[in-house]
Amino acid sequence: MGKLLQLSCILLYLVSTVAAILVVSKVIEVRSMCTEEKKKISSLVSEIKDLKDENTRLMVEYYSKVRPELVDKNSSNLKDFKEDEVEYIR
Amino acid sequence: MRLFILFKELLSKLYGFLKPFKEDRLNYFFFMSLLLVIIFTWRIFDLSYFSKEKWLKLASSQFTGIFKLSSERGELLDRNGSLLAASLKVISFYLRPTEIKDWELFKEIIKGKPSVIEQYAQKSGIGEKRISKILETLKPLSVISDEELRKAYEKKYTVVVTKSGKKVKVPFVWLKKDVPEDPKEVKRAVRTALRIYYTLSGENRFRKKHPDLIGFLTEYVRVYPYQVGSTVVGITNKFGEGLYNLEYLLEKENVITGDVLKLSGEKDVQGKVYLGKEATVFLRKKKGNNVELTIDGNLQYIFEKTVEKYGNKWHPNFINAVLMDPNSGEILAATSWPYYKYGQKRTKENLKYLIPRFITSPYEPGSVMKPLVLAAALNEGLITKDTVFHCPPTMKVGNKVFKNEFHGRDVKLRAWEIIEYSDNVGIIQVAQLLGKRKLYQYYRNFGFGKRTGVELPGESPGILRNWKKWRDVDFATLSFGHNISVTTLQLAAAYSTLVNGGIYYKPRILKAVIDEKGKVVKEFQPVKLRRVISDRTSKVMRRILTMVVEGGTGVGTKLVNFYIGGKTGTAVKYDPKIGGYNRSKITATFAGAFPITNPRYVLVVTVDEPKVPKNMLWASKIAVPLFKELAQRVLLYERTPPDKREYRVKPGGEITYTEINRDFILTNGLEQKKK
Repeated sequence: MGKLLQLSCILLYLVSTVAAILVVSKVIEVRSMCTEEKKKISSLVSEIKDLKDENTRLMVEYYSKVRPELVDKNSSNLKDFKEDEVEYIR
Repeated sequence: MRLFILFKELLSKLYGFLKPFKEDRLNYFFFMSLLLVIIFTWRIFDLSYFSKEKWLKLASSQFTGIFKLSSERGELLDRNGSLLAASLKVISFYLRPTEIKDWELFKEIIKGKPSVIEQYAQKSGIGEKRISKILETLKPLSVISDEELRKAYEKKYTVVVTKSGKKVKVPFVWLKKDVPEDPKEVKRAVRTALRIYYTLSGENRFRKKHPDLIGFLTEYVRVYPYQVGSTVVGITNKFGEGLYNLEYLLEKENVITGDVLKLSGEKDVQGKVYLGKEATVFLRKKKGNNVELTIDGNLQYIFEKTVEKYGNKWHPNFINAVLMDPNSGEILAATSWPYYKYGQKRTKENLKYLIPRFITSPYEPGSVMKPLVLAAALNEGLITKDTVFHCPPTMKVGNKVFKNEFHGRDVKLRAWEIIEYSDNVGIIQVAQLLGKRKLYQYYRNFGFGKRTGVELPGESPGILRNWKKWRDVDFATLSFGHNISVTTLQLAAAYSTLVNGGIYYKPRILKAVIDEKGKVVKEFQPVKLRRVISDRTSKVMRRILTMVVEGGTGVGTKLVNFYIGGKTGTAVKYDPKIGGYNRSKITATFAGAFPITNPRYVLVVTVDEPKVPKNMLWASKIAVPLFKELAQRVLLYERTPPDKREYRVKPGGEITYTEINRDFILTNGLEQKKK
């Protein structure tokens, strides 16, 4: 009876050690997955930010090119109609 | 001495009484330990109870800190979504001249000289195919000119003054600032350039104190791509802080700047803040909201260009022009010449021209106030538009004699003709019927003597004294716009009320606040502040104002396809030098609406002190042509359907028209028949 108890104790020690190792490795795995995902999100966020900056840059470039002063200058050979020179059709 | 002996005896007795051990050494050790325990206990009590707050505060100031981060500024857009102001990420290159040993080689690399790249390719065993790729990579550096490189190299270092006043030479010189290049490409170019340099020069980068011989920093600068509307939009300083107009106001109200992030972190004794790992990974600053304005960028340009043309012609003190939608209070264009042109040098003189004088510079408006007086009398039911007034050549009020507009002729005028011919004697009689108190109330209700509340800083309320302080002569002059100071915007708001059915709308320049994702955070709706005159009176006033253009003082603004209604105002200015009114100094105003049968626009132009010959010193010669040109351009730009003619295409393709709204003009004038 005493031996059986001793054996079961040893077995219990072993099982708990294995269980502890398993839990710890799972935790490590989950944490590393989290870190990976965090990295992905972070790079995505930074990519979005870069794209936004690029969008602003292009918008600024576009509106600088179509700004009224430039359009007016480039079309200076065209006639500015007066109100009485236009025949209005509704 | 005796006391000391007594004290010693007392101590010895106490020791004999208290000593727990026979051995003296043990007793000394015991008492010493007891004393130390008492001291430490007291200190613990002191730290954790009596002076707890003091020490906690000190500890927190040493070990925790707040890290403030300002967000990127939002954009300013016009009513069509055109970009008026935006924050652009830019690159600023720097150089460390003292670290560069082979300057010629360095310069050739930066300029992307093919022979140097070939040399590098040979030394590194890179195939010829990659040479063109390297040259392409170095391209972002080509924005740096030879001159900029030379200047930076010759400067060698930057002198920095420390807090203690000590001058320190830092091996860092700005090479080129605010370059709108892609940071990723620039980063690649800089890395490649440095690699080539270290390979060819044989220098060891790890032995250098500053191996980044050339580098860059990114920052945001405020740009104004559409380059219009400085008197509304304003500018920021080089640190990105709003200085004038909307840039200033929207920052002050925290609309455009977004939230200032406050992150707690740990701080060491030197004051350096360390943020947690999470913060550095996920920290992203929230951009400020974008703001859509009621301004139309293209109309604003038309206004600026036109007022500049007339400004250069007449050299006045200033010209103001404000275009408003009378049915909502939205300001579609507003400018004040001379105005600051984006890109101009920011001298003290130039920055002065950012001031929106259409809200900051009140002036005596003159006869443009007459229609408001008549509207008040009509609204009160004291007269009708056809009431006949006897207008003698002169009229004495108090000690002042006022003349009529008919050069000594004794005339009879219908009420509406007083406005058409802008007769002072007639309008004084209308005002007298109304009384001081009523006139004051109406002027207040039309928005004079108080700020309109437009979303621009520095607005003036103008001057309108309380009616109780008016002398009879003041009252008379008030009826034709003297003894009162108004701003151009106040006039625009008042004329909007006059023609839109009688409702005073708060003038607005903000249309909506939109967040970074394009979601409308707040939309600004028209603000109906009060009813001033009835719809019926407003309709009558529209017809009366039309007569000023169709046959009165504003005939210069008459258009072929549209009915325009408005009123001129020539106010002789008070000159403190001569202590009276100076006839060679005037403020010319024209306030009007179009198409007047169903007003869509109210336009007010003010020209202050034009430097023109004496015979030109009339609003009809100064303000009227400017008004006409602006009105024409607005109508054509907005493709407004005419209200005077209706065009049709006949089956053969011929275009014909018929006159419409002919009954809109008044024909029963007493002086009109004589004309």
